Amino acid sequence: MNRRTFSIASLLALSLGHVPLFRRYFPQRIKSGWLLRDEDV
Amino acid sequence: MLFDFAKGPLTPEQQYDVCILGAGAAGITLAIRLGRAGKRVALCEGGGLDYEDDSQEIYAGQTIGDPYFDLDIARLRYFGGSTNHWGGYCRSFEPTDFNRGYLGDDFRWPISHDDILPYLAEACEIVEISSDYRDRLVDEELGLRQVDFKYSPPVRFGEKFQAEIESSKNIDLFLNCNFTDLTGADRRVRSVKLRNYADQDLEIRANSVVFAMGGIDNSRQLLWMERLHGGSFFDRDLPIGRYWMEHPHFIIGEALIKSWDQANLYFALTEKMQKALGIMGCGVVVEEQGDSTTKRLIKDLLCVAPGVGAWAADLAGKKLICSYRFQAAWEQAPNRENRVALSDRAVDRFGVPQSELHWRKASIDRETMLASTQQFNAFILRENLGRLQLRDWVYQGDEYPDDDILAGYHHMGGTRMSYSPRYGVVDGNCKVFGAENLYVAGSSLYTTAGYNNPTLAIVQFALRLADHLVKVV
Repeated sequence: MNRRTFSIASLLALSLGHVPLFRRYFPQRIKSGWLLRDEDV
Repeated sequence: MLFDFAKGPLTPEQQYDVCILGAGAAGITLAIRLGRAGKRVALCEGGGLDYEDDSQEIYAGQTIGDPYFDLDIARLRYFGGSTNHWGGYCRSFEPTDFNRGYLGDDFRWPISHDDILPYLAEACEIVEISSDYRDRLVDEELGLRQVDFKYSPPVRFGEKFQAEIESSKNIDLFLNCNFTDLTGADRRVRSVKLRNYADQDLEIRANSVVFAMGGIDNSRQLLWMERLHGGSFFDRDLPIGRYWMEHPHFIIGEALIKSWDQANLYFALTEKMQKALGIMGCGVVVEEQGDSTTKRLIKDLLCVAPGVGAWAADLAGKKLICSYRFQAAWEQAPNRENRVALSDRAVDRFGVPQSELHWRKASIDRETMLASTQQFNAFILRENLGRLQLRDWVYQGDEYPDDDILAGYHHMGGTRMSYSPRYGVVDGNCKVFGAENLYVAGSSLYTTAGYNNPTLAIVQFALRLADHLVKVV
């Protein structure tokens, strides 16, 4: 994830309120802790 | 000269230029530099030349808040202090550590990085490392850089400097001398009172006094002086003990990474990226793991993402992929509520209340780790180097585990340096606000903690304080 998508994701997460802290920084696909690309699954 | 108070009464007659309380990295560095400059120094150590239970138990205390180490094992109380067991990791503050105004007034130092930089080369020489730090920008867009650590042998300050101190005409080392009180009036300290383990007392007169008793006891003893003497020696209502900091250390995950030559290295974000993200400093150590870990991770990845799992398995068959462990060590925000306080439940053998350490990690501390990890992960994914698996507690947002590394045994803040007595205890010259001749040395001075190990900077700050004292005493 590049810096631009990171920033957009952060703003989106913040606007939703009460978003868990982790998701604010890791909005991507996660399975069993693995940080994956969409095409991985 | 060496005087051991355990061997009988001592009656020093002379007036010293400087009395230093505590003979660890800060106290010894200070004594050596002052002695070489011709100043008469009394260096007072609560312990002896070797570990003794009688001395070590003075460090007992309670912790309240997040899981932390027992205070009587988190440091050593004899000649050389905690350099008798430090690991030797050396990296000093960075310019950005003094430029964190974007995070608020609590982060503002009264000095700049340029004030300690002139002492880096000499500090490196003392801990026997090169001062040629070579960081490398890995990716500008993601703000990722590889940072250079140096490793001291590690130098045991007591062993290294004992002979010079014993033979010095200017330095008198007093062993088994436990600080109990100050005398004086009108904001000026006249003498320090010390006691041995047979309850015999000793008084040393000095033009200036330096507390160099460590990142917890500097606070404890200053709080005790405030309780005994109110505002006799320094301003009332200073935030003594407050803004105490550690470096959280946790294993955050493991990764499968292909054909990488970056193993066992240390990474951090650039100053620009830290500011853009509104976070502090965080280092990520990447350590190569064995074949069994690689097999376990591939098996796991095959279950959750068969395509990329098969890719990893294929590379593993060609010995082109390895497993790595990711360990993060990061900066903790200065938080007024994290503090050393005087216990109302227990006192040490000299009647001084034990330490009560209140310590919790805040949301911004966790954000610093998460944001830094994400930038690092973004690099791995963009370059298709592999995949990172975070520990459960990280991605599930759970509490920090209590069976991990926890912290670095780095005690910082408590008597921090500040531009204002509202936010700190000492000024830019390490002098306690309102005092005429009372100073502090050691990592309790740190206004912010950075993310690097504190010892090298302790030496830099001690050298700088010595230069100041040479001018004023």
